[in-house]
Amino acid sequence: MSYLQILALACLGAALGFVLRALRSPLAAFVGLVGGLALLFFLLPRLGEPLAALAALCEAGGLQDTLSAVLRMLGVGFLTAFAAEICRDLGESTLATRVELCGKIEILLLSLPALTDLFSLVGEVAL
Amino acid sequence: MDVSLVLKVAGVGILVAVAQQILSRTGREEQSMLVSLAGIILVLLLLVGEIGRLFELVESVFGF
Repeated sequence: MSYLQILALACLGAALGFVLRALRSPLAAFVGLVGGLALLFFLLPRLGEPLAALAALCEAGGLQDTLSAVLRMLGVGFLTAFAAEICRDLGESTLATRVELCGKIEILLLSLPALTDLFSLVGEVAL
Repeated sequence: MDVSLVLKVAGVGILVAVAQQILSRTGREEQSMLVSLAGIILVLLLLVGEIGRLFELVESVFGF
């Protein structure tokens, strides 16, 4: 699917959501949700190749662990934002804020190994 | 997973909305509520499978 088809799919989802809301269907929010999921399905494989190329570069440079940690943090941030938006769409804005808090804690936990490496490196250089 | 899923959900949504309004206008409130509930459960079942596939895709792309 080309990028224009992805955009057209998003507009189709929005139009169908509008129709369902006009008909007072309880499923109006779900159409938007499914449209968003379909968009993600088409975007993520396109990210796969550049990320693989970046991974190959980092293996050559010896930064494999750092790259995998950074990629995980990216994925967590991305998915946390998506899940929070789903909660907000379905009307649960406090749940959305809690999901974002969980995402922040998860990213902090993922960054701890890199931070401890950095501080030990700074300690070695300073002493 | 392509356009067909969005169209399926929209189709179920339209059917449920029409059935809900017809049933509540002819006075069968409980049946209209049951139809809405059935529609929501059907869509949720469709969604859960797709969300599972989405998470597998994310795991493969981001290397979890």
